[in-house]
Amino acid sequence: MQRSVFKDTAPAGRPTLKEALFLGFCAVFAVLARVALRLKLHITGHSMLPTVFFLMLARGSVRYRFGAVFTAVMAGSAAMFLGFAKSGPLILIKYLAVAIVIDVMAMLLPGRFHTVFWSALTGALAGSTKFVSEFAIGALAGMDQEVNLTKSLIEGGSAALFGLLAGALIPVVLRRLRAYGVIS
Amino acid sequence: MALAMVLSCLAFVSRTLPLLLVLSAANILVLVWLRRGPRTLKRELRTFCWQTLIILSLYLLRFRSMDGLWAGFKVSWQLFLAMLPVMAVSKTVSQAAAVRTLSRILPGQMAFVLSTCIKFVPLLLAEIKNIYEGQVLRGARILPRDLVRPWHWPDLLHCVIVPSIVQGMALAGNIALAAKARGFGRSPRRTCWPGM
Amino acid sequence: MQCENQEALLRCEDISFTYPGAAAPLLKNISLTLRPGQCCCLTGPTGSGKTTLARILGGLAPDGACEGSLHYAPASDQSFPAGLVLQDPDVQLLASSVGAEVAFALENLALDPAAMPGRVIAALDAVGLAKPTAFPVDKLSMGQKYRLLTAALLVMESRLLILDEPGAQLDPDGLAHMQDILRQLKHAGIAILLCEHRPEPLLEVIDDFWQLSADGRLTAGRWTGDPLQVHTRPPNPAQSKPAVLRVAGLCFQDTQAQPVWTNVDLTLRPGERAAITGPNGTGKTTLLRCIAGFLSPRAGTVSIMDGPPEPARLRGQVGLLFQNPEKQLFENTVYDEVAFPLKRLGLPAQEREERVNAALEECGIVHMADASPHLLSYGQKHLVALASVLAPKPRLLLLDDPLAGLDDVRSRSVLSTLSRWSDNYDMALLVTGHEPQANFSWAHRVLRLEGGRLA
Repeated sequence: MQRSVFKDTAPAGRPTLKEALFLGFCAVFAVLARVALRLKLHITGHSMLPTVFFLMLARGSVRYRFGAVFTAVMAGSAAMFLGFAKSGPLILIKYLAVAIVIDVMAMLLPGRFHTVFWSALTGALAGSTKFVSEFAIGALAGMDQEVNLTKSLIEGGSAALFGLLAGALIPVVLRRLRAYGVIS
Repeated sequence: MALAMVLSCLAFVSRTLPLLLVLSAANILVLVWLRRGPRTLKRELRTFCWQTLIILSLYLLRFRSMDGLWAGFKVSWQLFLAMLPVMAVSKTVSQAAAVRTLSRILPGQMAFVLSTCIKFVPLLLAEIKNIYEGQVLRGARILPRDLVRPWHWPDLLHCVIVPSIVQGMALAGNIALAAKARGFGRSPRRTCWPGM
Repeated sequence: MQCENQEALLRCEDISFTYPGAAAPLLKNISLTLRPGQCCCLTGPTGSGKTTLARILGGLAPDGACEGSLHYAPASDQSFPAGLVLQDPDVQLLASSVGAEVAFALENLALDPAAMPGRVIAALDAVGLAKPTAFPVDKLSMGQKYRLLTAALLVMESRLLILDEPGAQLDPDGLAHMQDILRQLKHAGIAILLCEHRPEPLLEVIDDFWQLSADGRLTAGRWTGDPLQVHTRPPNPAQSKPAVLRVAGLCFQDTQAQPVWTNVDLTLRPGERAAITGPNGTGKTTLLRCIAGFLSPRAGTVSIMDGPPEPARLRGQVGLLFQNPEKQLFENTVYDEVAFPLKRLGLPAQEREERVNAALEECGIVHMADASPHLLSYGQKHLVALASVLAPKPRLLLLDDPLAGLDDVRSRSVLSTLSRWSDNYDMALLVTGHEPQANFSWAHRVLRLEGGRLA
């Protein structure tokens, strides 16, 4: 009886197991780096640097078109259940907001993660979602609208800046990974 | 964890002083039940103080009088009560229990992937440490005192971060191979070891 | 027990394999048969394709063009025809307890949980691993981990077991246990395929040898490489020179405050070469990291070139290579990789070029100067990493199991290079390894780290 050799293929529209595990590592490191930086830097919005970096790395390294969202679900779940989530279950929504922007941008601009301008722009847009999440939390808590807007703009702006920096690093990293022969 | 989430959600609707006091009492009871005292919550308390300072400053600028301070303090108190229960409960849950809970909530492959990655992170961190230490002695400017200067950051990226990402990919490949060698993905459904 | 009349468990015919982008096939027209109770050993130089062939025969071919046919004996839906244990046990242990690890395959087969404990315990008994099913996996020794992985495959009722370089990870005790288990499995009619550089510890159970040549063909017989060259022990270096390394009364504790080793004393003079052997897990890597200043000992002192072991001070003076040193390669060409530490030391361009060429020539890789280090073979990457730490002419070189995964020919080449460099530039050398039967004729001293002491 002949048996075909078994390859690591996945059903259409799903990541292979190897890709999924790499996305899992990106998710766990996104959380750990966020915690490590928070303990050391105490700068508002800086946690967007590792978040955007690892989510964009996840999306840029695998062929799965929802790589960032897949990673964000795992990162949010890990952060929540391992006690690293300052905002509790809302952390999942925060990660998802960033990831959706990244996956949508990757779909609208295929291959543009290899140019610094588009990659940085994607990072900045992804980072700026912090404005929405902070504004929503403030509104839920009954914060004065003007105060809420000011606070959210400061945090969102800072996060967008860090997101821009993270996005700018991605083309360099992807270029190196291609030189290593680990991504196509 | 469900209790923590309920307490967390209640914080958003507790906008009057009596409700805030009742919710705070409920949180203190939960902390006592979990045997967590003020010392163990140092980090959360520090965040609360920092957050309160920012919000009070913004309220002061907005209302330009002390009236705004009380409103600002209440909002900060609410936000603190929203985050406290989940953080306190999460830290008492063992990693194994957390992973088991995740496995029940997340869809099939994702649960396996996340729990496996959490398990292998120490191994990957050890590899990254080896890479870092080897590169330091090769002359890469990546010691903490070097990284204060931004023009040394490319060394960190090229000598440590990129090789570490490659190691992560290699490890993912090896784990996938090991899992496939034992039939992972062969059947759409997986059962669970009863743990005896 | 092998029986020629029994149906073959595995028959492969004309298997050829080419990696994507490769100019020529790695494996060419490989045909072989394995019968119940037969143990065969696949030998060949590093990079000849042993692991690739093992993966193909195990049904897990890597990405690439694969031709030919593979036939397994019929197996039930609740079993897997072939089980494959890869090189590094630590990346194959996917669960936290012994029982869950063995049951992983049964979970994937969607077996009824009530039926799992019986099969798990039977598999553990077959490999002689007498641990409770709730026992944590990370508390097992390397030999026990290897047996656990074997049990995790036997539980799938595989009748063919493929083991990729078991000798690379196991110490003599582990290998002795492994030999007993293989003997029992053969007796039970299971076929075994070993891929090994150094099959000596398992010779008693091996029935046949095959060898993969550099051109990708499989022939009968054992590959041994060049005839063994016996080196005479080098003369001791002058004792009048001040020591490069002085370790006195060094003690180290792990994170649970358990002692790893105590009262370690060691002195190395310029040009002196020492080997430290010991079983896996005794703290050899930890010792090197303490010496380099990356870990703080609980007690004792380390002095390198009359100063404390501070990494910032030791740059260019001390070289350090961990196991699988190709992990640290990052430049675009071999030349740039070797030149990197010299650039960081601020050497002028002319001197950099001379040193790079000297290191490349010494390691026999001048012809690869413009090649990408990431696309080289495993053995070639090893040499590039070695050249990059030799180029700055360090006064002390620390190597953690540098021969892991290398065949005898490559290993001798690496040791010859290190010995010559040490003689020419008075470089002190400290090398760790876990094989006590290895040839240490290149070393002035051989020390053993075991039971928490260095002797």
